[in-house]
Order: sequence, then C-alpha cells, then structure tokens
Amino acid sequence: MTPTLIGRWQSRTVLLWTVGLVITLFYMLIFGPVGIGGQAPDASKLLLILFYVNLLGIGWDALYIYLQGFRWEGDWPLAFQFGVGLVEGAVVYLLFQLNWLPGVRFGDGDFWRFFFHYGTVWFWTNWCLFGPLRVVFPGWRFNGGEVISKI
Amino acid sequence: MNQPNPHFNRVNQPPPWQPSLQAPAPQFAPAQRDTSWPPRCFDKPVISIYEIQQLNLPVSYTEYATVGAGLGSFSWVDALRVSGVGTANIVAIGMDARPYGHYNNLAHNSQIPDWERLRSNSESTPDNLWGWPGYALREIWTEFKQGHLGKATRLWWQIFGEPTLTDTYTPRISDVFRAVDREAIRIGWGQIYRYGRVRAIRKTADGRYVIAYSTRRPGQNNTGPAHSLHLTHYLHIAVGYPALQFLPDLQKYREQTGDFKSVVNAYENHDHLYEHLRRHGGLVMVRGRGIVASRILQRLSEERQHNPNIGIIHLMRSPVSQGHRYGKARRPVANQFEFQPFNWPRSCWTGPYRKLLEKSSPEERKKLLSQWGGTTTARRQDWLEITRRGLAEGWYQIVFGEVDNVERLPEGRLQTRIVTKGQVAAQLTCTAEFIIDATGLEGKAGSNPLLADLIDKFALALNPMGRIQVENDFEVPGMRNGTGRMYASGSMTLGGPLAAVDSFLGLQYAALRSVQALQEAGAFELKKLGVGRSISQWLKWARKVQP
Ligand SMILES: Cc1cc2nc3c(=O)[nH]c(=O)nc-3n(C[C@H](O)[C@H](O)[C@H](O)COP(=O)(O)OP(=O)(O)OC[C@H]3O[C@@H](n4cnc5c(N)ncnc54)[C@H](O)[C@@H]3O)c2cc1C
Repeated sequence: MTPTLIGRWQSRTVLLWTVGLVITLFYMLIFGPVGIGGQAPDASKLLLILFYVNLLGIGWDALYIYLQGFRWEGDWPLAFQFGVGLVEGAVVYLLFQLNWLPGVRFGDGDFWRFFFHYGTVWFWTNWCLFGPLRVVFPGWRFNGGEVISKI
Repeated sequence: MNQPNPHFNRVNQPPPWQPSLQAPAPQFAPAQRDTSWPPRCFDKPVISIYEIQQLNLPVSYTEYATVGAGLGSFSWVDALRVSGVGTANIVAIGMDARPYGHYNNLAHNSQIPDWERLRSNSESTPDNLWGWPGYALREIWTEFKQGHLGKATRLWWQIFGEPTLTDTYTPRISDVFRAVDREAIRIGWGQIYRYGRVRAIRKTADGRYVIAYSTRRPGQNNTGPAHSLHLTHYLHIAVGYPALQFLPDLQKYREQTGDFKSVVNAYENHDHLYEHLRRHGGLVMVRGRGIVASRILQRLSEERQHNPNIGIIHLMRSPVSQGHRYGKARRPVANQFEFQPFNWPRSCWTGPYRKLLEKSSPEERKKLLSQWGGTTTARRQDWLEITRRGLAEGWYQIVFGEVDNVERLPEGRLQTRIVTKGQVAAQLTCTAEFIIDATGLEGKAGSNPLLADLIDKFALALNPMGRIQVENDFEVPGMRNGTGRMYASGSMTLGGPLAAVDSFLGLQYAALRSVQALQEAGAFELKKLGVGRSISQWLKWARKVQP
C-alpha cells in the first residue's frame, strides 16, 4: 500500500482511536486503579498523550508525503513506517518531559509508563497497517490508506 | 364468475413492456437453416431472441459471464462469488481450464521455471481478494514451521526493507499457482468454467448479450455440438495478449526464410536453443532490455556452466545514461538497464499515482504512462552480478545500433548488419547462431480477431495507446445495452484509468471496481462488500470454506 496524504491522516486517526484507545484504556487501568509500577493517580493523561500523538502526526504525515515525492516508486517502505514511528515517539516524549504539552505534567516514573504505552500502541497500530486493515476495508489498500472510500 | 372483465376492449393502451420484447411478426420458416459460423444474423450488432431461436444451436443463459477465463476472469469471478453470486449464475468461457494456463505458458517460455520468482509483490494475490496474508507472510510461516529460522528472518527483513534496503520480495511462481488452485476449488471454478473459443459477441434486443463460441478442441476427439451460444446480462472480457510481437526485421527474416528455429521470440518455446548451445556452444544475439532479457541472460549464463563457449551479444538501440524522470524523482540505471521492481512505480497500484491517472484526460494519461513506464527490469543482486561478470570476462557484450538487415549464411548462421548510432557512426556485421527477440508481446486490440470484430461492429472507441477505452469502473462505454453492461480488464485496456491493469493486483482492482458498480446498479444477487461482509468472507477464505 502506497499512502496518500488523506489516507495517512485517516488511517492514523482511525487506528489511534480504536486499537490505540483500547491499549490506552488498558494502561490507564493498570497504572491508575490497579497501581502496577507505583501509584499514578493522573494516568488519564495517557489519553491526552494519545491525542498529541495524533495531532503532531497530522504534521508529520505532510512531511512524509513530501519525502515520498523524491522516491521513484512514490512509496513508503515498511521499514520507514516502523522507523519514523520511533522518531515520532521520541519527539512526543521530549515535549512531554519538557512539559510543553498543554494539560499534561511529567512526573516520577512517567518515562516507563510512556515507554510501555507508546511502544505498545506503536507496535499494534503498525501491525494493523501491515495486515488486518485490508480485511476490514477491502478498498483501503487501493486508495492509499483511505478508510472512508469506495473501492 | 361470469361477470365481464371491465378492462376488456381497452385496446389502445401500449403494453407495459418494451416494444423489443413483443413477439416478432410471424415469419415463414426459413427454407434452409443457417449453418454458417458465426451465423449470418451476427452481421448486425443487435440480434433478436427470435433470430437466436431460429438458429437451432444450443443456447444457455447465466446472469454473469466472463470471456477469456484467464487470471483477469478469475479475479472477476472471485469478486462476484465473495459478493454473494452463486456458481450456477456465472460462466467463464475460455481455452484453458486452469486460470493461469496461458500465463504459465508465457512465463515458462520466458524462463520462469517453477522455483523462480515472478514480478509482483507479496500482496498481489489472485487467490485472495484482500491481499492479506500476502505471499511473503505465508512463505515466512512455511519456513518457520520447517525450522528454517534463518530463511524466515531473511524474508522478514526483505519485506521490511524493500525496495530500498533490500531487493524487492517476489513470490515463487509455483506458490502462486498452488494458491490459485486452492481458491479455484473454494469458489467452484470447476462448475463455472466452460471450454470455448469465442468467435463473436453481440447485443440482444432484450438488453443482454449473446456469445457465440465453438467447442471443438484442436487435436482432440470432439463429440457433441461444435458451436454454441450463451446469453448473459452482465459480461466481462479479459483475453490477455493477442499475439507475440516481433521486431520488423526479424518478422521479415522469418517470413522470407521460414526459419523458426534460429530466430525466436522469448515468449515462444525455444528450449531447443539452450540444448544446442549446451552441446555445441555458440553466439547468441539478444534483443530487448526488459525483464525477459534479464531472465534469458540468467539462463544463458547457467548454460555457460556446462559449456563455456557460449557468448552473448546484447543489441540495444541506444545507450541510457539517465533514467526516466518524474517530478522530483529519477529511475536508477546501471549497466544500461533501467531498474524498477515492477513494470510501473508501486504508487500506480494503490497510491497517489493511481488516483492521479484516474482523474487525468486521455492525453495526460498517455504522457504519464510514458514517464512511468518504458522498458525496465528488476534490480536483483544475481542479475547485476551476471552482467558485471559477463562484461568483465568478455562473454557478454553490449552493442548499440539499429538493425539494417538479417540474413542466413549458407552454413546456417545468422548475419546481422547493424548501423551504430551516435557519435561513432559505423556499420558492423555480427554473425550468431541464434537471435532471441525479447522485446515483448503484441498488445494492440485489433490483433485479436474477437476484439477487432467488436471494435468494428460497435464502433468502440480506442484509447491513445490503441487499446479499448474503458470508463473508470472498467465498463466499455459503447457496449451498454439497456440494463446489460460489459466490462473489460487486462492488457486490452492498457492506457486507460489504471496503469497496472495488466497485473495480478490491477486485475483484482478492476474486478472489485466493476463488481461494485454492478452492485450499485442493483445487479442480481450481488451484495455490498461492506465491513461485515468483508470480514465474514475473509474468515471463510481463511477456513477454506465456500463463499
Ligand atoms: C511472461 C509474463 C509474466 C508476467 N508476470 C507477472 C507478474 O509476475 N506479476 C503480475 O502481476 N503480472 C504479471 N504479468 C501480467 C499479467 O498479470 C498476466 O499476463 C495475466 O495472466 C493477465 O491476465 P489476463 O486474464 O488478462 O490474460 P490471460 O491470463 O492471458 O488470460 C486470457 C485468456 O483468454 C483466452 N482467450 C483469448 N482469446 C479468446 C477467445 N477468442 N475465446 C476464448 N478465450 C480466449 C486465452 O486463451 C487466455 O487463456 C505477466 C505477464 C507475462 C506475459
């Protein structure tokens, strides 16, 4: 699948708020009420972080599409897809640690919480991009990743 | 009970059906039955049902029919089956019981043996409408189960890094065929396929199509009727490449000398050539610089292991110093070959280029296609190594120029007079044992008699590449017949809305797109392939259960 800009935005948003949301709620539960790895009463901020990953991603996607134009195949190899996910994570983490993300405060033990949360979301959303999304939306792969599209 | 019918005598109302459905005026039975083939009434573009009945030929009917029964037809039937149509309502008429029969012949002749890898990606899966799991994942799983962890990891890295960090993954041809066989059994292809050489297609006056086909198999004991007619409401046609393409000078040589052994096309069986070379050695001239030329070079270099006295002259029209350009990108070049994993940039199948081409005008399409297309081969480490070694050791040489003449010398060898081009203009003569024409297949619509007849009878429009023009949903516009529709896909529509229409994935897209258009038009039994249906059908695919 060779993404279009609209396709990137749609796939990103849909995956973050389905697969990503389930994972986030899971971590909110185990970091918050269950209290694994120390008490984190403000675990709900993971939801905001998910939102920022999505928001910044809108900008990242525009950059990726620009870079795609330099490739003869006009494509985006899987290795790039996984790789840029790590860069995006590092940037969001930096902003998080510097307390530059409105509404979220960086606290003790948040490195590990971020690491697990973002890592899991990154892993599973990319897996869905790689495969199962094709089964759910048969037109997705022909339309550069656009979820809302005809075949 | 005896009350008079109040509507009786209201004779001036037109009947509530189309005039064409009215019984024709009584005619006298023809003095002699029409036994010509195709029947004389096929001289007209539209035929009435009455005329069909008069022919005394077996007539069958299904709501859906596809002509060709190759991989394009198979993808269309697969999409229909997954969208809810039963086997009894579909017919596929063609000359090969296996959907990949024709493709297999061409592939085998052009040196893709069973264990070789073809030229499409992991998700180009004619056996699976969703493209997932692709061939790479299936191959990884097989290797993993057999304990070949190293191989599985290598494959994994390949699909991960392709095409930039590693060579592009392509599936093994035998794996693709096995998978298609499996899907054919699942969708009931055996009940759908029917042997026949289609002679002509006409519209019927009641909004359907009639297909005239002969059922005589060459070289076999034929029983039963020789000719049949099939009626259908929704028609699809994918007849593949009509013919082999020959360079004009080679064509002339073959016509003049009748020598079909020393000048061969890469797509026809030419095994005798390799056997001869293995025993006696000799010089071969290869023409064309696409992927087939690469495969031929590979085969010849393998033969050199048995007999080192085999030499290759590769004749190319002109040098390529730079690859094609499109926007900010340029296609890579090495050793006079332009590289691209498939015959179009990847984005032409599923991405921005596909969308761009779809919305472009016919003239713009032509320009885009010439920028993206052209003669290319895949970048494979083994092929790069063969050319590098051959050039270094001298048994492989490249010559640039145009052929002036090809002649047969008294002792049977072939002499080619070449006019070189560019700054060093000169004349060369090259004497070789064999010439292999690897320049391709003939794609012009008119070279297939069935298509030539359709174009002629219905004045069908051609696209700028001389193939049949289709709408964005692959409908052939001049063939609409009331509620009846005809669709086309494959090489006969190249130059239209989809660059890669002649590829596994392109055929699949064309199939899904046209079936969707039919579904929206309310065609019989078709259900929308929405999220629910897609998932449940995929699960059936995974469990090898009928759709
Ligand atoms: C050597 C080669 C390698 C290729 N490799 C790849 C690849 O690796 N990946 C990829 O995606 N694509 C590849 N392609 C392109 C394409 O996918 C195949 O050519 C594919 O088989 C095209 O399917 P089709 O249905 O259009 O034609 P075909 O599969 O050729 O089927 C057409 C059928 O129509 C029948 N027919 C023709 N006229 C009539 C008639 N009048 N009546 C009845 N039947 C008729 C023919 O006998 C034939 O069986 C390759 C093509 C070639 C030639």
